[in-house]
Amino acid sequence: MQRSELKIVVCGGGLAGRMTALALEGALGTQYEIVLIDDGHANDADIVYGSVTSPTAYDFLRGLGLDEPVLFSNSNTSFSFGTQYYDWPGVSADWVQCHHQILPVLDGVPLQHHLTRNQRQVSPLLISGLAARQGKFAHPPEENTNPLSRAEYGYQFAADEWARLLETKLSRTRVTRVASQIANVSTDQGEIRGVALSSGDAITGDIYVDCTGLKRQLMSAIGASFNTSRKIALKQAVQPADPLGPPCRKVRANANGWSAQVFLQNEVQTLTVERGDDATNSMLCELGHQDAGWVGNAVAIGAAASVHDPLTPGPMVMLQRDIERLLDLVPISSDVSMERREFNRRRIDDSMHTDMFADAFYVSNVAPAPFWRDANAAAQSEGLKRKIVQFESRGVLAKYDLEPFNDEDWMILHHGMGRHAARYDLQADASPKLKIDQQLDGMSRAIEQLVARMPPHHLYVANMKRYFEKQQYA
Amino acid sequence: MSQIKKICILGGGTAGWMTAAALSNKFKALGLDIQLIESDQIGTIGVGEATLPHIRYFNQQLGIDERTFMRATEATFKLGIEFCDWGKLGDHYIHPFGDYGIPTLGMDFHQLWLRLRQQGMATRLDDYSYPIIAAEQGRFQMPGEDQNQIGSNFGYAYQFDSSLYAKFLRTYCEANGVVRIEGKVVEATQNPETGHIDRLTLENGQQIEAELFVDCSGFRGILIEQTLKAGYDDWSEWLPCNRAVAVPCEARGKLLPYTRATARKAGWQWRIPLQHRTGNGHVYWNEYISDDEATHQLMSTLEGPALADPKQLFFKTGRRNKFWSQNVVSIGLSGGFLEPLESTSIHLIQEGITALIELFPGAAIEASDVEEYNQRMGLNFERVRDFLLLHYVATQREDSEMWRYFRNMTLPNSLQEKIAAWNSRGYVLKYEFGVFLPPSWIAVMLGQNLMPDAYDPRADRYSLDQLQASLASIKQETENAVQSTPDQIDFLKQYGAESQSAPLVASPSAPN
Repeated sequence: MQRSELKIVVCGGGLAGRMTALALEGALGTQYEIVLIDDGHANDADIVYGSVTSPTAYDFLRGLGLDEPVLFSNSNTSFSFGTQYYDWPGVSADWVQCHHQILPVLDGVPLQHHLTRNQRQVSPLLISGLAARQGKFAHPPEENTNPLSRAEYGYQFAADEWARLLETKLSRTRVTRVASQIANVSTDQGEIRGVALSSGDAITGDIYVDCTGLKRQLMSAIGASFNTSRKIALKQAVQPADPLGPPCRKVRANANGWSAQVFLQNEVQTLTVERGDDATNSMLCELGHQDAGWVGNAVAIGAAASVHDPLTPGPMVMLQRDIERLLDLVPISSDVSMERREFNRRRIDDSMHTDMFADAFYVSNVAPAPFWRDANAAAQSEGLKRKIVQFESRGVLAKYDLEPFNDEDWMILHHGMGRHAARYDLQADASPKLKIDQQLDGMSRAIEQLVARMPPHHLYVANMKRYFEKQQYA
Repeated sequence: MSQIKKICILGGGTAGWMTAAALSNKFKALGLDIQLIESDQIGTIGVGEATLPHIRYFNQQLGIDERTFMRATEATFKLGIEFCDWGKLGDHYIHPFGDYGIPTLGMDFHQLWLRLRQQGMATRLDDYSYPIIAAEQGRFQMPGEDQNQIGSNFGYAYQFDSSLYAKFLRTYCEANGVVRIEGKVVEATQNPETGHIDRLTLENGQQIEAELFVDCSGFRGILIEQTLKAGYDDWSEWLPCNRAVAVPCEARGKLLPYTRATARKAGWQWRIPLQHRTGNGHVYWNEYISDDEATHQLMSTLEGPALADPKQLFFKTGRRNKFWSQNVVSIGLSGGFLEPLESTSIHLIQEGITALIELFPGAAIEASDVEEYNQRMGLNFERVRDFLLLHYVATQREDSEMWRYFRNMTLPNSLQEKIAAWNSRGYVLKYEFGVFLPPSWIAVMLGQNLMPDAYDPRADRYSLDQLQASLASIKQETENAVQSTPDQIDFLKQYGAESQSAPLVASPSAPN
């Protein structure tokens, strides 16, 4: 043990607060005291996290003790091979933005160049996309000769249910939980001095973590400023459903915005997103980010730090990265200057890269309605332009350091949105066209045949749960 | 689809022949017409005799057989670089090509080590590195398949005679249809409308036309600078060494699988062991040492008799403002120069070639290709610069003007942050692109006595007993793996990579 005690006060329950407290508790030894101020109510604003994760959630959740037996037996969680987008402005057909491992390199040349040269689409080569379309699911196996091993998956989930599971986990840890609302935050010279609770108590600590979501209670108290890129209005509706739908979220665009269906066990959630000027029955929400995620002795996590378009799994990716970044840089003394600078440096990159991926859906749209105009106007970063110019010019996937969305995500997106590469890598010319065509035909046939044999999502989940049950009582 | 076909490479050193080899191999199907102009009267620099592990991929891509290549270039294996006298006089450490330890308890290995060390329960970090221990004992064998196994968790590179490598590649290129033209360029003619270079005129009046020129003419940058005035970003402020003197000598002692870089009062000296001789050089800053003294220092510390007269080199560290301008791509020293402290010269050539191949022009040169190329190469150069500078500033030396200069230097922000983060808690700032990954930074920072004040508190989750047991077994396995590794010379023989030439011996008339 290298340091005397440090006390971390996590403010706000819901997904962000509970995940953060649990992650800190699991990572740190007892010289860290962890307090969670959590009023115990579900945080309605957690719908900004979009109810869908990327494949990185698997390891992260397991680290928190939320493995698949817990997730599937104790909540309505289901699998997600990706999101299917319909009626997207300027895009002629729907596509599945699926999760997929690294795509093959044929004769030393990345797949995308062969596709351009042979004028083919990527979708028949993506097993996760095809299975999602047909409502099929099975776990990707280890052995890499099986085409399904190339698939990756995340989860579709209900935020309030996950918050409840986290609460159960927390109750078995040494985290001190304080069931109260935050009434007031006292500050002095850019630092937080304490948190006054509605119960009348006051709590002080060395580091404060703002997990109050859109309220940003600590960040506003400390005078941090939030950069708004645009406003949206969110509305969520839930309907019972049986059997379970596809392992894939469905997003439909319309003149005023878009709506997403999330298929859970026993229910379908529908999230409607419109321009944020009319808040009747909706939650108004500013997309954007804090200038700095860590100010003084306060660290903002999740929606308190930045709000990302729930069109992609970006919001959950950011929440996870915020927590992991905090774990990497948990203070070890009262001097947190290095930790703060590095946290903020990484946060800015992560936030920018997350937005870049969502912006890529809007950057070239020509839909005239205000929602689409707003989104298009906010999607004009130089970094994104470079990516699109490079892809459209020659199929090159321009990259930045440690982006949350990988080459496959970008390539599937470009193809899905009908972006074409004008040229391909000339090394592809060394392979006979016919041979490549045959190879690709063979790959897509193998995928089709395998998907035909995969079980429907609902049967797979039902069997899996029976198996978990047996294991439990065995 | 129409396609640029006529390519002219100016200069036949390592950069020129590597570029010609890669283009002629990768674009076989395009039927490129590649000409390479070189002059026997102009010597090549060939400072970079030591390489980084990436070179293996380059050779593999060309279909070059490793044994043939090693025999032809007098190559030895390289497991890392030994740095002597950098932190303090008398210090030495090896920067290995590989991670320390193996993934343990889901944490960065060095953090567990830092915790144990604070308790006085760990030996030096090097003891957990197979390539370091093997290098120290002069041993080598090929890494196995499983990168997580001790004894396989390393990469290797080569030390070779770069003029022999150029010759070797020339044979390869000529078999691929590359045409070598002997001559010196006296004029480059630009197109009055586009500004592109249309043709080069040689001393004998011969004219060479091309659509794309690759400038491998070395420091002078005949096309990129003398003709196109691309401009040079001078980095002397950070990397002020500006001269070198190089000389080969007879090899002495055991054939070591690593390069040595020894710090001197106004620069540093390299020692590169090849099969038939040892390469030596002294890189220095002429502000604080005269050419004569620098040469004397080199010649008086050779391990054996010199095999030639010392050769003097002049340079200015920095990078071309535009690596690619108009229809000229500069690869090698014409694109920029960073001193060869970490064997990056050939690596940066390789990066330039890789980017050129990925962004190779089709019917015409597109502005977006040029921009992308310049952006990537700029990042490559900058990240290498910071890593090189680290060696000079992570030091306790104050025994000469040059070291005092570095002690008082204001660092680039990016480097300042890296050092601060390391010093405070052993945290390594990560990036994805750039050649030196966290283990390299750790090696140099620790090797030069930057010991973090604290460690990642997540290491406290484990009991000291548990950590001690894990680390002890990794150390033991490392030792065992090294014990079953043959001496490099035996491995070269058994592998079939031993050169057939006898070791070079100085002729009685040679200077010494």
